[in-house]
Amino acid sequence: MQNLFAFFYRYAFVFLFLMFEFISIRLIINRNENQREIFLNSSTIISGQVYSRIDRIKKYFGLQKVNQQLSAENAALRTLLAQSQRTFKPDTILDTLHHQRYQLLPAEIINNSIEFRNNMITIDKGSNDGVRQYSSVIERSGIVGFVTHVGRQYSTVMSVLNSKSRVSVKVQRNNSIGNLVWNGNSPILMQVEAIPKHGDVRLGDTIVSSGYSNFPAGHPIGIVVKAQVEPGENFYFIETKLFNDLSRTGQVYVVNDMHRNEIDSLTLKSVQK
Amino acid sequence: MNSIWLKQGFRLVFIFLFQVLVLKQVHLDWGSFNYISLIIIPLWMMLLPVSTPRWLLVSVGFVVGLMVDWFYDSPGVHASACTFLGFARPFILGYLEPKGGYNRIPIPSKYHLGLNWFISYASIALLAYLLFYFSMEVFTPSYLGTILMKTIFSFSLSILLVLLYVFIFDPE
Repeated sequence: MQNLFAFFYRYAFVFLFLMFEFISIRLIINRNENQREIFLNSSTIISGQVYSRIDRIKKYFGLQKVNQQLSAENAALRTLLAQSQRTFKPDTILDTLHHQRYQLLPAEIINNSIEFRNNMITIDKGSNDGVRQYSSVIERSGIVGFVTHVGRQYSTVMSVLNSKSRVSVKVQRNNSIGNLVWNGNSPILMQVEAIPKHGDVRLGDTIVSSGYSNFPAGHPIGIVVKAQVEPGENFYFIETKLFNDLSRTGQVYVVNDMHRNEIDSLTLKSVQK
Repeated sequence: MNSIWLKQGFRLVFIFLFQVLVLKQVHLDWGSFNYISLIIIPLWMMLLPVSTPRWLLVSVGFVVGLMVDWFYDSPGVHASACTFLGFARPFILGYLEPKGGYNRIPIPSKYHLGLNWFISYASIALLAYLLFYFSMEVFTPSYLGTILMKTIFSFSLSILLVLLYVFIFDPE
């Protein structure tokens, strides 16, 4: 016991020194803004590093469990895949310059008509598959219509062979803009309106979509079989023969326009202004 | 014994007032070159009697340092450095111990131990003080360059002040 006291007495100055230094540093940290900030910052950095190290080590212990979870999930997904009868993969365009704009979903026409003045089509894809209202429906060559109502598994499409259908198109050779309408007569002939008479349309010109409506720009639609300006008129009367035959169409693509919301909201804004 | 501590008290008052009233007002910095602080308070710690017990050295160091901090608006910075000097002083004295030891020598001063001895003693003590002081002031080990620059420039002027004091008063 005496030795202990002697020890403390002998080294009291060390303890005093440490104690006073401790008090001083507490004072420095608590009463001096600069040092306080430095202390807080560096302790945050240090503790952050320690925490991230610990976290990394912890992850190793959890690897086996994670592996088990992943393989269970894999098995479940594979089962679903095998059971699934309606598997499909949306076609996408690799576009690195801009973000992808169009997403194509393959679909099958299950109901169609061409004999009425206002024709409607039903396709076998709905909101479950990513179909959106007002998406356009096209074929590999030629257009079909645009989606009017979306169900969970089916959608209805207003055919271009419809009096309400009006698609913005252009002449591929010189970019004259017009509207594609249907006069209700022949299901393979449609009419292009509103190309002024200086638009220089010739027989054999290709009509493509302009991109102003929901159809992707430049998609081929038909070929000009009749182009004339009636006396006293300012616009061409053009008849175009469609590339596709809507009476025989089966496989189509629904085109989801990723940019459509932005375009529409911008248009709406400028209209309101 | 009492007269020695009376002298220490007078010396403390003088050095302390010189430090906080005069040297604190001296700003030897121009532009971004602010590496010079004039520090003389460690001189008082150096001139304490050789026989001062270590715990007392550490304690008075802390108190005197706090008093200086009170005027310098830097609570704890001088206190930690003074405490450190009080802790380190016996080791410095042990390192510089003359052949005859410190018998019959009341205070480690130029008067008793000669100019050369005192210069080395004051240099080591002042460097230790300044290094600790600026480390606490900058408070970031990564600014080691700043700490060293401040220590070196402040040392070169402060040591002149210390020697000036010793030459003028030549404390016994």
